[in-house]
Amino acid sequence: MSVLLSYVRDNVVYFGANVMRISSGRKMDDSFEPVLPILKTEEGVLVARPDGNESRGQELLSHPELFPLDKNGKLTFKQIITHILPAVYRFYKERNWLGREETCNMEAPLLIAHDGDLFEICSGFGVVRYRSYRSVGNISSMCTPCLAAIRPEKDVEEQFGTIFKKCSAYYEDIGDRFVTVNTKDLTLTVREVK
Amino acid sequence: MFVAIKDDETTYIGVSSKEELCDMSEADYLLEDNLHIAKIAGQNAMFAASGDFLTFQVLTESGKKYMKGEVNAENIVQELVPQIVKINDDYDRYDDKGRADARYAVATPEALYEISLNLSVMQTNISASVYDQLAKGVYLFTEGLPTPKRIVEVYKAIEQFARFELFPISIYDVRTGKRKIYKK
Repeated sequence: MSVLLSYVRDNVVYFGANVMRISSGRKMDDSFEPVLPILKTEEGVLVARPDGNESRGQELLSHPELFPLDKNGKLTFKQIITHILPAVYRFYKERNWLGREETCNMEAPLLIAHDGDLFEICSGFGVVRYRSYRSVGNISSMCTPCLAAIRPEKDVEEQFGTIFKKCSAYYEDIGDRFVTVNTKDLTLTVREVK
Repeated sequence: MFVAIKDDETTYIGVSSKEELCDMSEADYLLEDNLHIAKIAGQNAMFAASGDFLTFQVLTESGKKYMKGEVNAENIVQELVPQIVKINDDYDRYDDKGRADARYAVATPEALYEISLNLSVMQTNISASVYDQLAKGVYLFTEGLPTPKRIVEVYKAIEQFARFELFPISIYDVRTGKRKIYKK
């Protein structure tokens, strides 16, 4: 089980993701940077992806060249649709990873952020822009109202910890640790759920 | 989804994507990037989509002038539909029956066109991307009301029968390009 939280405040996008998964009944803690569910590119773009197929996620997130900024150094709606979306689609198609529900899709959406801009490439490859918050993953419906309830005076990353703690009361495979990063300092930090 | 009605003065297009973009704040939902409607570059016309919106986004963000000729049924068939087909092919937007799950409305102040699931083009005075017959029924029974109000009534009726929320909706006047938000 995995869940991704994202929250936009003061032109900064914050990401939080749990780092434990259960594979064949075994608890696995993915808190080493190479296997974290969040990619940080040299241009400062953050890309995050909830579970789905673990190895596919790791392979996708080891290709920062798929997520370039535009010539003005911005991540725009147009840049996502004209450059990033076709590259991600090709990446999936070349590997024969595209699933079929009604039309070709990814098994998990992607959240992409830079500065204060947050976008989602949905499983069906449609693009959505967010200026508030977004949660994706297995228990996102539980997390979304928690994100909506974050008060302006509260520290966002601490609040992510509170959300993971609340959720772990219902889903033990949320695990004990989570990773946070934001588009301002771009430091991936693994924290304990307290 | 969209509901478009043409009257004697202009054409109005109502758009709501709330049934697709769930779990989202109202402010995000109302961002124009997230509404599947766009002005057709170089034309006094608008283009809306409903359903699978990848093709619409790729087309409208391409930066190309995707309708060069006058916006009419003939040119929609000759210019716009082939571009939709091309993108549908590029991104394999077809289901098992070979249909892409998207409907479109193309509107000028003087005319309204609907592009159906099978990509046939039809000129009409009312077009609704879902619950089409219900929409036409409400349209008939609201004659005399201002057109935006008729669109609101169509959305209210659809909300009653469908199990998803649609409001707030955005209604665009194609003649002016202005948008007005309507809440329940």
